[in-house]
Formats: sequence, C-alpha cells, structure tokens
Amino acid sequence: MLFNSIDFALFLPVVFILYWFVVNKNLRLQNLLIVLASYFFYGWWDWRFLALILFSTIVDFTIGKALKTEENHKKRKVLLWTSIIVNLGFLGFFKYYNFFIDNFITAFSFFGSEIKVDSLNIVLPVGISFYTFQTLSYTIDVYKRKLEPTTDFIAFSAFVSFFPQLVAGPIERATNLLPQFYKERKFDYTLAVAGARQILWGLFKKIVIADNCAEYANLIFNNSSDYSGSTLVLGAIFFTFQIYCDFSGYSDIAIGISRLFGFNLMQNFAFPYFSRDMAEFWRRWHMSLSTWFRDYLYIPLGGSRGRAWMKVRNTFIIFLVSGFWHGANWNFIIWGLLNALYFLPLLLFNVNRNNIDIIAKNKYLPSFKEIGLMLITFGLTVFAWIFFRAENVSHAIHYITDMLSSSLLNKPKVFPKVTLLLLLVFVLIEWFGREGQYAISDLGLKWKRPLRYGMYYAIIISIIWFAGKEQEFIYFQF
Amino acid sequence: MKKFLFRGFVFAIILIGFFSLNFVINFFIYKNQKVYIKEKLLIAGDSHSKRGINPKILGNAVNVSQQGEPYYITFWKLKKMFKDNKIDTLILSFAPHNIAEFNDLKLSNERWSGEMFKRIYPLQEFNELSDIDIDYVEYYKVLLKETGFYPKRNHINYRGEYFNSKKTNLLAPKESVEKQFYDSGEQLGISTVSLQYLDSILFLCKTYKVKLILVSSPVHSSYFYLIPKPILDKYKTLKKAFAKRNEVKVIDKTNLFYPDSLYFDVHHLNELGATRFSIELKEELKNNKN
Repeated sequence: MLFNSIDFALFLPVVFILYWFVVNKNLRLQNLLIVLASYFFYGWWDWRFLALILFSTIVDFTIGKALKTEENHKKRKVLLWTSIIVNLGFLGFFKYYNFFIDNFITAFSFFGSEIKVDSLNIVLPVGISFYTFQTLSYTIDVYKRKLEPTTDFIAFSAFVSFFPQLVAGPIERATNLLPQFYKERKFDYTLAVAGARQILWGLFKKIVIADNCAEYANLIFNNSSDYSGSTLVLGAIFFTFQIYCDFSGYSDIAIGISRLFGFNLMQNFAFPYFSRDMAEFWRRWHMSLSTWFRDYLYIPLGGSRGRAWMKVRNTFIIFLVSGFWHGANWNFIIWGLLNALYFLPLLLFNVNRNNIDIIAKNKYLPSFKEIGLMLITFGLTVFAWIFFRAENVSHAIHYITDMLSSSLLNKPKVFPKVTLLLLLVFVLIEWFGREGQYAISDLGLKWKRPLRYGMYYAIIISIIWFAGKEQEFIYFQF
Repeated sequence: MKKFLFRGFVFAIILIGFFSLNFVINFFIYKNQKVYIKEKLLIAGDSHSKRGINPKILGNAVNVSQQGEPYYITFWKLKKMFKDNKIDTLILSFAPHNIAEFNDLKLSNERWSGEMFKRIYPLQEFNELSDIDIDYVEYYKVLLKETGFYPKRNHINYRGEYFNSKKTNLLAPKESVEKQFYDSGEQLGISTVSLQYLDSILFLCKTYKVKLILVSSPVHSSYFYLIPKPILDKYKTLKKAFAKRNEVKVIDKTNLFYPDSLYFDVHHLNELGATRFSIELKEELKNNKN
C-alpha cells in the first residue's frame, strides 16, 4: 500500500492505536505488533514476498547467533559469506537474472553463435534492494564485532521488516535501529509532532511537486522526438525534481511515521541540489545508500588511500555498483559511470571535501561564486538523470542530441506555468529551510499555535488543491 | 499522548468543519442553481455534435454538447435543462460509438473519470447506475476540490458549447477506433446502459413535448470501415426501430464521407465540415417541417 493511499490512511491509525494503547506496557508485544503490522503491510503488495523476507531474516539471525560463539576466523568468514551469498543471491536472481541472460545471448550472437536461453517471468519483490542491504549491514557489523548479535528473534524481525522504511529506505544500520527495539518506547509528544510535520512535508513533496513534475517529465520523455531542445531541457529538469521529491518525500514520510512510533531513523537527503560540487552532492543524496557503499565496499577496497590507480578503481567500482543497484539496465550503469567521471577529478585533486557545511550557512543568500558552482553541479546532475529516466541508452543519446541542437533556443512547447511556479515556491522553501533536517523542520516552532496551524492547513489545502495525477513512487522499482 | 490525540482531534475537526461548511453551502447553491436557455433548439451529445453542429447556422439554437459525454450524463443534464426552460426541439448525437460499451467505463477509467465527475457532481444519480463501475474515491476527491474550499457561485460545468478548428489530421484511424471500441486490446460490446438511457431521453422528450432528432455527423471512411461489425449492426437495427416511431426523427450521415479537407480528424468534422453539415441539416429539418 502506498503511503498516500486510503488503505494506508486506515492501516496507520489502527497500528498506532494498538501500539500505544494496547501493547504499550510490554516491549516484546510492541515489537511483535511491529512485525505483524510490517508483514501485513508487505504482504499487501504480494503475499508471496513474505516467504523471502522471512527466510532472509531467519538466515541472518541464525548466522548472527553463530558469529557470537564462533571464534575461529576462517569459520567466521564462511558464516559471513554465507549471509552475503544468500542475500545477494536472492537479489541477483530476482533483479538481474533476465539482464544477464539477455546480455549473454547478445554477446554470443556478436560472435555469430545463437544460443537459446529463456528469460523468466520474474516478479521483482518490492523493497528487496533495501532490506537485503539492511540485513547485510547487520551480519557485517556483527562479523566485525561492531555490534553484539541479538538473541531476540522478534526484535530482529522487527528491525528487518520495519514497515515505514521497508520498501524504499532509508537503509538503516543495525547499529542505529536494532538497539531501538531493545528499549522500551514511551510516547514522546515532541517526537510525535516532529514526525507528523515531517509526514506532512513528505506528502507535499510527493503529491504536489513530484506527481505534477512527473506528468510533464513523462509527456516530454515519452514523446521526446516531437519536442524542441528547450522543451527537452525542461523535461530533464522536471524529472530531476520528480525523482528528488518522490524519493526524499517518501523518506520524509518514512522517518515521520517512525517518529510516531518512537523511533529515530537516519536522515536520507540533505538538500542535495544546493551542492557546490559532485562530492558534496553524493554526501547529501540518498545518504543511507551512499554511506552503506562507503562503509561496506569502498573502505574495505582501500577507499581513497593508496595510489592514484587504486583511487580510480575504487571510485569506478562504487559508482558502477551504485548504478547497477538501481536496476538491471545499461542506462543505470552509464548513469553510475557518469557520476564516477564527475567525482574522480575532485578526488584526484584532493578537493572532494571542500564543501562540508551547508551552502551559505547562517546567511540568507549565497555568493555569486556559490551560485555558479551550484548551477554547474545542478546541470551535471540533470544531465546524468537523463540516462536514469530514458527508456534505454539509445533513447538517452537521442534525447541529449535533440536537446543540444539548434532548437535549444526555441520557445518551449510545454510550459506549465502553475507547476513551474510551484517548483519555484518549493525551491525557496527548501532554500530557507536548508539548515534543518528537512525544509520545514524548524519553521513555525516559535509561532503562536493559530499561526502554526494556519501553516499546516495551508500545506494540507495545497496538497489537495494541487495534487498531481497519482504516480507510483519511483524507487519502488528498485 | 492525550495531549497529542486531543490536539490532533481539534486540528482535524477544524479542517473537517471548514470543508463541511463549504460543502453544505455549495450543495445548496448547486441544487438550486438554474440553467437558463433562451433558445428553442437544443443540441446535446458528445464531441461529434460539439464539433459537427454549428448552432449559429441553425438559428435560435444552442449547443451544450461536451466531449466524451455518455447518454446517462446527457439524460441528467437534459432533465435539469428541460425543467428550467422551454425547449421545442432536441438534436441528440446518435452514432455507433454512442452505444459502445466504452461509455460504461467513463466513470472508472483513469483518462475520463476525473473530467466526468467535475461536470456531473451537481446532477449525478449514481444510485440509478447499478451496472456501471464508479470510482468513488476519485469522485469524492473531485467533490472535495470543487466544493470544499470556498463557496462557488457557478457549478455549471456540464453546459458545453460548440467548438471547432480549421485543422485537418487524418492520421491514426486505428488508434481512434481502439479508443472507442476496445479496452486493453479487447473488443467491447454494446452498452445496455447507454441503450436504457437513450430510451429514457426519448421518454423525457415525450414528457416535456420536445421533438427529438437523432443525428450522426459524417465520419471519415478510414474510421467507418474499422467500426466493429456487431456495433454497426446494432446501430442500424436501432436506427430502423427509431425511424418507425413518430416522435423521433433519425438523420444518419455517418457514412456520407465528405472530402478529406472537411475533417478535423478521422471521426470529427472541422470548422468547414461543420458549416457544410449544419447547412445540410438545417435544410433537411426545414424540408421535414414542410
């Protein structure tokens, strides 16, 4: 069930009431309710997926327990690799089997051989890319002795299947989320209100901005050969905001819901489109995934230490894997490759950590230099997103070629004034709220209640009034 | 927790109260709103009559047709318009696609339902429509948007008007036929609901002593020959049955096949085509009177 659906609007209050009124006195029961609610939530998509998540949970719980008692280094490694193979095996099969088969056939036909291997009609389980990485973080951290393995199966199941972040993240670390299931949760008014505010903002981003931008992004991308270069630029910009608001909106809702239940999840986006370089962008975009790759792949490979060729190799590996994580499609791999090319010069010239603080901190406006850097970074990002959105590589290339033609200077054929105005208002709100966890995290906290309520009502009314045609969350396909 | 629930409740009540108040005010406005028509000849139906019949040429006529309008909506509209005005003659669009099952999908189809609900919320009689799927979620969303925010003076979104252009584009006849007679590749049948409401319109005209003329404007041959045979056959049967009834006149020019330049697309006339058809229609109505 989608967060912005009637089904979820009925599901959430029921779970909330049961959680805080029926099972609140017993920690185990609270965790059990989380498990049952999460399995119900996940099973609503497709009940067949439940077996997979349950199996993954049992395997990693068992391996975690075994790692607790096993001291032999080789045997510990075998246990770790068992977890990795099982989790990545499932992910590989469901997500990448057809991709590899199709490319295998293409490669063979290139050499003049025809082989016949049937691709399978595989249904991709929703959220598999997210929860497999989440459980892997558990076994890896237990192996490294960063985390004490749990003997509480219910708590561990709740950690793996926690419904707010199950299908599209944030990808939580066991070191952050699992301990929260050991502690009794008492209702915290401030946390719950913060959660409700974040849910509201997430819904605004998703329903008003993402869904409205999606309408025009889809129109332009699906008919790209009919439009001028200037329209194609707009299409790419619409997609840029669609994917940001869709994904970060979902994360805001997930984090907000978790707060209603007394949990703190990690921040997943930190205003990435205000970045001054690509290194900063990747520190602010989908932070749960990028830090996962940093900690579990990049650093074990050597990270940015060692010789230049190692830095280059590691950077390419990370970004290509990141691209591949998004989907079994050459588009995503090229998108990853582009980002690697953007990032490498910063790393090699040792300027990848120049911009750590948020842009124009404690100031209202950025400097001209900062504006220039932001625009360049934004432009590079928009360019890369074209590969992400296009049907295939050929479509992306045609899109870019048509975009950069002489018709770039023509008046755009598609120019939705209302959507563009909404985007402008949104960017301004994000700009002035960029020092908080999310744009309105600190807004109105010191105002009198009627004024604060007025702000909430304005957001709710604009959600209803400006609601775009309902679109599925983009990251559900990953 | 109590503080959170109490404040949440108050917050929700204020919002619900705001929407409810606007809804009630707007409900009284649209229930009592009249549609004033000074003309004696009314043209109703879907895009075929909307584009095909120019009321200025017919004289003392008004065209209230709207794109995609199925007969059940036309019936609700006409009930209101006949009640509020004195109409002598009704020209109603009557073509093969008007009796196709696709019309039954217009209150649940993603492409159409939002637009339909926006037009019909002041008139709807959903309780009479038992054989049609209705997307109530979408309906209530539209109702909230149309009536929940502020008191509106005008709720008449169901009064159409003549509209046309001089362009011609005869590409994609197959796609046009598929949109009207097929759903996800499957051929649709006859809509019994459309037939029932066509009968209801007939009865309504009889009750209000309105002369009913069923009219079908010319379509392009590339479209005509792709119309599924069962629907075309049923249409011909109905046409014959209506022709025998004194209270109904049928003017079927579906396969009249004008020159290409008179079409807007494969099943609609353009401005020039509408002018010619309206003149011919006027002549035919005059001859019948005599």
